[in-house]
Amino acid sequence: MEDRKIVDLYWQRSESAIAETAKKYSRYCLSISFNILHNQEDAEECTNDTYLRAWNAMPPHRPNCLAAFLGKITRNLSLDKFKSYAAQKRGLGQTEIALSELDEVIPSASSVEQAIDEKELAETLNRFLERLPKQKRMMFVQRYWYLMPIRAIAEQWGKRESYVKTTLFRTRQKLKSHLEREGVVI
Amino acid sequence: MKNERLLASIGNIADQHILEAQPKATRGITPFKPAVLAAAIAAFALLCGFTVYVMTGGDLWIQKPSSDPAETVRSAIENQAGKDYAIRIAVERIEIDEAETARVVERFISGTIAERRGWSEAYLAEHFIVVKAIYYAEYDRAQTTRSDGKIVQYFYLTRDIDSGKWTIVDNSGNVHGPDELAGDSNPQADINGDTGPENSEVISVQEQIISYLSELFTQAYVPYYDGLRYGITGYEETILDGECTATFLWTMYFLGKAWDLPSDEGVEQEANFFLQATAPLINGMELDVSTMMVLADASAVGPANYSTPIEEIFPDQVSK
Repeated sequence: MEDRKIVDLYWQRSESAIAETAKKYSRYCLSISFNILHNQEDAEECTNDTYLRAWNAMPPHRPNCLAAFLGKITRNLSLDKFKSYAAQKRGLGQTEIALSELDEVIPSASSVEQAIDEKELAETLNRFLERLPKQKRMMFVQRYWYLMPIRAIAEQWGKRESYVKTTLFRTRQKLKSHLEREGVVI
Repeated sequence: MKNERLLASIGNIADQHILEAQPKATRGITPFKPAVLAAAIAAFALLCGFTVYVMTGGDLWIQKPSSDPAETVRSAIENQAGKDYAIRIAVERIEIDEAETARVVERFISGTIAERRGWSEAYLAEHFIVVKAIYYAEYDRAQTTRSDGKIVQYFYLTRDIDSGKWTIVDNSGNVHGPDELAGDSNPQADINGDTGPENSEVISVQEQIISYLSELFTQAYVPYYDGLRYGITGYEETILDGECTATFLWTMYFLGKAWDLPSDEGVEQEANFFLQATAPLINGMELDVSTMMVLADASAVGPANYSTPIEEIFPDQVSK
């Protein structure tokens, strides 16, 4: 079913909205959640919660891109769960590694002029991503939005893991410079 | 978390970046449908300038699908011998063309068709192959304008999932250039020491119209439908003062979409168009397609009234 029609079902408060969403996007949402939580049961729970959040959000919301809308909900729910787990225990593996990689992107306090909010920061990131070559941009988003393991990214692109790691490292360095140039405080 | 705000902001990047980077494994892979691939191949071949005829009302290959794609092609060529206009058919060489297969697959992989359908290179490799055939054909020129002499053709085959057998879904025209087979043996020369005057391809007016309309309709409808192929029936042609006018029934076959009717999803449908094509002839043989005018019959009943430009009945996107 077309996304527009699925959104219409939500607006009509038709319960089939959730069934149609699950039919089309369950694998997508599960994959995002599993990359973060590495636990099938938790991923399924987050995916189901995604449908509930979508139900509560529409109306009044009418997303232009349903896939990204659902993906963002799943990602946020999964990261929240990840954080609660991380507070209790360590060792959630790949996600922690991916997140720690981002530490090096944060500009030092002395180099910045003003603090910006998350929305502005997202705009800054968009400007940065738009200037990147397609492959580098996609690898970056796959690693830090989808939180995909390096190995999976390498497989998708038919590259060695070392190539992906190097590419991501250089992209992070570029991002750091970009944020510093724009005077961003995180 | 030190990077919490950065992580949250990455979560809010533009939708386009999220969609673009969507992992392949999470994309819905469209089940393999030979008809869908056939349409894709036809579109590809048109882009390459091949003469492609995907038609049901015309002269189809009579083939015997085989688990060996070369054998399927051999059966199709040899069965030409049974047609009324065929005088002699002799197969010289049939071989799987891996380079051409890879080239076509690469075109798919780098294009939107494969990306949209989630067809990986490995996936296509199991379902699609190009076979090159070199053969000699002699036809009765009073009955057909088909190209004869030494023919070099590429055949595009897909494999049926259930039977594992390969079927020709499309073919190029004769790609035999003047220098292509330098050094090759020539069956006709073996017969009479002369390759004859008819080595270059002669394409009939009807075939030129089919080729033109196939491209036009594919461009118009490929954003909306899969499995596009075409048929032509009731073809009548008149040539007057160097201008050709043809009338015919043009049938477009396509795989239905649920947005038209839910029960039609994936089921082949057909749309019929009574058309009149008019274009000047160059040198008495070649249609000047740049000035071709195609009109649709606007009358619901009674005599035909060819007055509606075909572009007016195409979906909106085409006219933009």
